Amino acid sequence: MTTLLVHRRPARGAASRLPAVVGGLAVALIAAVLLFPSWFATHSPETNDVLNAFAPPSADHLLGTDQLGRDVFSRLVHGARLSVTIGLVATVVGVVLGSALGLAAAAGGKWADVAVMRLTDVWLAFPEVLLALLVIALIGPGAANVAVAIGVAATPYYGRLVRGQALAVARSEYVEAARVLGIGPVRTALRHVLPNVGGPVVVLASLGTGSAVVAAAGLSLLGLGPLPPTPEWGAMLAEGQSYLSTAWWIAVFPGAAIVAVVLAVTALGRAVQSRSLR
Amino acid sequence: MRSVLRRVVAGVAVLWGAVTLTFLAVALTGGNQVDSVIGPDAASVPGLREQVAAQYGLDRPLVVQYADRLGGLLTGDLGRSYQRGQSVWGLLADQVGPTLALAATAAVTGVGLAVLLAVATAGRGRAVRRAASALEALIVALPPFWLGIVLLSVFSFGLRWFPAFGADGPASLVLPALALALPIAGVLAQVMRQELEVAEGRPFALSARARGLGERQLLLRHTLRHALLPVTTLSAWTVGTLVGGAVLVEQVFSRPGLGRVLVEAVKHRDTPVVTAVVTLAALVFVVTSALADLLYPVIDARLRTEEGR
Amino acid sequence: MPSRSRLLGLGLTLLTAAVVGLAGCAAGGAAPEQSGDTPRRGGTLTFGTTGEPDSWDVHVSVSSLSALALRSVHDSLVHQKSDGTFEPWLAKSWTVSDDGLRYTFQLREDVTFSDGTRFDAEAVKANFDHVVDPATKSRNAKTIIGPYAGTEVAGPFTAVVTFKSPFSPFLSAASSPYLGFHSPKALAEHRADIAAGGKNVVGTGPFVFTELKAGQEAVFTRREGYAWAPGGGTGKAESYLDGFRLQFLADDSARVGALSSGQLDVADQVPATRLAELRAQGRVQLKDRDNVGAPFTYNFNVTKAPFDDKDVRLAVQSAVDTEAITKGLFQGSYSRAWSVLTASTPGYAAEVERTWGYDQAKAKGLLDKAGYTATDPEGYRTRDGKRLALDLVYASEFTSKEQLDYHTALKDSLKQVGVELVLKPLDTPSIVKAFGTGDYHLGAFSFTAPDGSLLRTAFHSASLPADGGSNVSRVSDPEIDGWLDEALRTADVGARNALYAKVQRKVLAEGLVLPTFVGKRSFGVQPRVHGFELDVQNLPRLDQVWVG
Repeated sequence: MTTLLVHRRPARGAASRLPAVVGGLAVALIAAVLLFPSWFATHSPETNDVLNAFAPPSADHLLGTDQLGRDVFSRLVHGARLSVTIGLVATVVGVVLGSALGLAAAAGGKWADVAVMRLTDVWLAFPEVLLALLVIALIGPGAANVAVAIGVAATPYYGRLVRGQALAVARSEYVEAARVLGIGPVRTALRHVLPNVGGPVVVLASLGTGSAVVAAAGLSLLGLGPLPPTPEWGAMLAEGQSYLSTAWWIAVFPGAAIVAVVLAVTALGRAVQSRSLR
Repeated sequence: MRSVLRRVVAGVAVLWGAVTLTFLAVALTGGNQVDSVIGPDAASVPGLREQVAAQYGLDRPLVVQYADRLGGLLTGDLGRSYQRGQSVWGLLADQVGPTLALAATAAVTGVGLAVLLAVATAGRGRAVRRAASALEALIVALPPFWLGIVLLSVFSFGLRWFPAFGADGPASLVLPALALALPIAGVLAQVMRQELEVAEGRPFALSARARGLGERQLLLRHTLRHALLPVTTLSAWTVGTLVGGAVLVEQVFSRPGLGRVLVEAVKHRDTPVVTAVVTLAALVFVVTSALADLLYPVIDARLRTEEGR
Repeated sequence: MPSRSRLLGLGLTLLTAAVVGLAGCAAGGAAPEQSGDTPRRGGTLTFGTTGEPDSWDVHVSVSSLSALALRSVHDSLVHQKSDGTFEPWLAKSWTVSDDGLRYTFQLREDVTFSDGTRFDAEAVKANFDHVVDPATKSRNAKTIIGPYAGTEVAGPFTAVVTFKSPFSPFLSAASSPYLGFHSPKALAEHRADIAAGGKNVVGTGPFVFTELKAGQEAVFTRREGYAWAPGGGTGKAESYLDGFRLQFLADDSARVGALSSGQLDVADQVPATRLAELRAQGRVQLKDRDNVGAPFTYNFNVTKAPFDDKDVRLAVQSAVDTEAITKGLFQGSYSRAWSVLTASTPGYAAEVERTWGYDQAKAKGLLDKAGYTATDPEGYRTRDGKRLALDLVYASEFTSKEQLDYHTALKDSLKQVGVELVLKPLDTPSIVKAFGTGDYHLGAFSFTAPDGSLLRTAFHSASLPADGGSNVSRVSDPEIDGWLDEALRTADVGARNALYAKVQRKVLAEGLVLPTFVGKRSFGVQPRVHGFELDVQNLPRLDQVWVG
C-alpha cells in the first residue's frame, strides 16, 4: 500500500482542485467502462481472428491485436471489470476484516486492545505480496482467492485505522452519554462509533483500491489469477510478455491501464482526504 | 541500553508471533497437506496417507508439531519440502544471495534517486515543485513488474545495453534494481521534500544563513540530515516493498532468487517452503524496523543539538 | 506403493510428453556446417534451455530436457544414423534371434566410465535391470524397453538382452539416451541420489556432469580420454569444447532476448513467433526440424458422454480450422498436422491428407443430427435441457504458452458451432487422477517417438493411462488392437507401415482425435558456434561443436 504512507498536508488553493476533478472524471469513466463494457468495446473480447494476429495498432484495432487476433482494446475494456473488481473486493475484504478487528479492540476493553494491537504488529511484519502468496498457497489460486488473499494482507492497516478512530470517538462525549444511558457496548459500537469512523476509512480504502488492483495484476502475472481466455489485465501482461520484442502493444497497454486506474483512484482519494482534513 | 534490550525483546516477540500465525494458518486450512504430497491415490491405498503423514511428522499432536517447528527454527532447520523432498534450507541457500543483491542495490538506488530529486526541487518555484510532485505521483503508480517489462523491452531487447536475464555480474542488476527502486524513490522523495521544506523554515536555518552559510552548503550540511530522517522511519516499509516487489521482478527478469522459489512453491502448495520464505521476510522486516527504531533517536538527537546551537 | 508410482509415472509421461514433444528420429538431417575453418579446441559453450528435467536419472526421467543435457554424458549401445539405420557405438556388433526374442550385443572392450569403472556386460545388465526395477519408478525408459525379460551375461563383453514377446522397436530404444548407462559403481553406491544430478551422474560420454546449481545451471566439462564416439574414423574423439553450461531460463522472451543480445551461445526452444523475426535479422543461425512422433493432438474420450456419440466427435473434429489457427498463431513457422503421426515420422500415412478438415456447416449438421438443436441464452446448444459442454483437462505446470493459446483458439472455434469447451487446468496429482479414471472429454498431447510404434501406446486397448499407456481416447477396438499386435510381430518395415496406415485412417474416421500442428525443435545459435547439428533424435551432438 504505497499510497498510504504519503500523508500530505491539505493542499491549498484552486490549483489543488484540478487533480480532484481529473481524478473524479477518470473514476467515473472507469466505472462506466466497468458497468457497460459493450458501449466502449469495438470488438468481442474473446472472438479469435487468427489470420489477423499480431496486428499493430490501427484505425480498426486501436491498440492492435494479440496472438489470437483478439482486439487488445476490447480486451482491455472488458478486462477492466475483473481487474478492478478484484481490487474492490479485496478492499472490501480488508475493510470488513479490519473493521471487525479495530472495533473489537476499541470496544472490548484493555486486553482485547492489547491482543489486537500485538496481532496487527505481527501481521504487518509480513510484506503484503508475500502474505497474499501464503494465503494463495493455502486456499489455492483463482480470481476470487486472489481478492481474498490481497484483502487479508491489507487487513491490519484498516484494523489499526478503525481502532484509532473508534477510540477517539469512544472518548467523545456522546458515547459517554450512551454509556450513562445504559446502552450496551456492541450497540454503541454499531450505532455510534462505526458511522464516525467511516470518513477516514473511505479515504484509506480509495487509496488502497489502487494498490489492490496492482497487487491483483501482479499475482495474476505470476499465473495465480483467472483462467484464459478471460480478459484480465495481469493475465494479458503475462501473455504479452513473450511477444515484447515483436508486438509490444500486447503487454504495454494493460500495464498502462493499471497505471491509469491507480493514478485516478489516488487522485480522487487524495482529494477526499484533503477535504476531510480541512 | 534498556531501550535496546526492550526493542530486541519486542522484535523476538513479533517474530515468534509470525511463526505462530503461519503455523496456525497452515494447521487450520491445510487439511489436505498430506494429500498434496501423495497425489491421487490418497484414498485408494489403505494406510498410505498415514504412512506419509508419519514420514513428515504430521501425525503428531499439533502442540508437538508446533514445539518441533519452534525448536527447528532455533537450530536453523526450516523443515522439508513436500514437492522436492529435500530440506527447505538446502533449497533456499543458493537463492538468498541474488535476492539480497537485488534488494540492496534497489534500496541504495532508491534512496540515492530520492535524495537527488528532493534536493534538486525543494524550496524551488511552484512550477518546479509541482512538476516534481506530478512525476513522483506517476512513478509511485508504476507497478515494478510493468516498469520491468518496459525497461526490458527498451534497454535489453531494443538497445541491447543490458542483459535480459540471470544474476551474473553488476550489469544484470541494473534493470531489475531500477524497476524496484523507482517507485520507492518516488515515495521517499515526496516525504523528503516536505521534511526539507519544513526544515528550511526552522530557526537553525535562519541563523545559519545569518552566519553566512551558502544555500547549497546549508542544504547539504543541515537539511540533508533532516531528509534522511524519513529514510529511517520508512525503512521497514521500504524493506517490505522491496521484498514483495522482488518476487515479481525476479519473475519478469528470469532472475534466480527467493521469489522464483516462492512462486514455484505456491503453485505446488508446498507449504513448508512458502512458510519458510514468508518467515524469513518477516525476520528481515523485524530486524530492519528494530534498527530503524534504535537509530532514529540518535539521528534526531544530533539534529536537535545542531538546531539548538 | 506400486500402483501409486505407476499411476504417477504414466501421468508424468503424458504430461511431459505434452510439452516436450521433442526428440525423435527424422530422416535426413541438415548437411554439416561448412565453415572452412579448422575446428579449434577449447572454450566453453553457454546453452540456454527451458528448465530442469523432472529427474537427472535418464532411467527415471520422461522429460526431453534430461535427454538434451545428458546425451553428452551417457552413451548408448547403438547409434541411429540420419538415414534411420543403426551403427555401432558401445556395441561393436549385434544379432537378433529369428523369433525376435533375443538381442546379442558384442561390446567394445576399451570403454570406461568417468569414475574409472569398466563398461562391460555386467554394466549393461545392471542398468537395464535398474530401468525395470519398480523402485526406480521409471517414467519413460521402462516403457521404451518394452517387454524386457532380462539380460544374460554370456561373456565379459557379450550381453544378451531377452524379451517376453517379440519387440521390433528395441534398437531404436537402445539408441536413445533414456537407455544410456550409469556407472555400476554409482548404481551400487548411491542409486537414489542419481536423480539429484551433478557429480552423482556418472556415464561413459564425452562430457562429465560436474556441477548443478538448482534452478540456475548445470555445468559439464570435457571427459579426457574419450575415444568411443559413434561413426568413428574421423580421427577425433575428445570434445573440442572444454565444457558447456546449461542455463535454465523458463521464460521464452528472456531466453530469446539473451540469445539476441549475445549472452547465450545457443538457445533452445525458440518460440514459433520469434523464428521469423530472428531469421530476418540474420544475426544468429537457426537450426530447426519438425518434431518426430505425434503432432499436438486432441484426443476425444469415447467413454464419456456425449463423446460416446461418433457424430459429436466428428462435429468437433470438423469445427476447427487448424490450418488458419496454426498459420496465425505461429506466424507460418509451424505446419498443420493431417494425421496422428507427423509427416517426417516413419510410418506416416500420407493418404489421409485432405480426407478430413474444417467444415463448419458439416459440424453444425452433425450436431443437429445428434439432437443438439435447442440453444440456451448464452448461445450454446442443448439437448433435453442440458448444455453441450466438454471438459478439456490439462496440466497447468506442463502446458506451454503455445499450447494454451491453441486451447483458447479451440474454445472459440467450438463456441462458433454452439459447443462449450471448459478449460480445466489441473495440478499434477489431479490430472493423473483424471486420466486414471476417465473423468474428462479431451486431453491434448504431442509425443516424441522414433516411428509409428507410438500408435500402440496411443490407441491399443491395453494402453489405457492407468496401465501405463497414453490411450487417452480410451478406445477399445478389436480391429485396431489386431493391426497393432500384428505390427509388433512384423519385421518387414513396409508391411509394418501398411498396418500403421490402417490405424491412422481408422482413428481419424472414427473421430477419436483432432491432430493440430507439427511443432519444431528449434535452436538459435550464435555465429561463433560451429558444428552444431541435431542428431536423428533432434538432440545436439555437443562433442562435435567448437567455438571460433
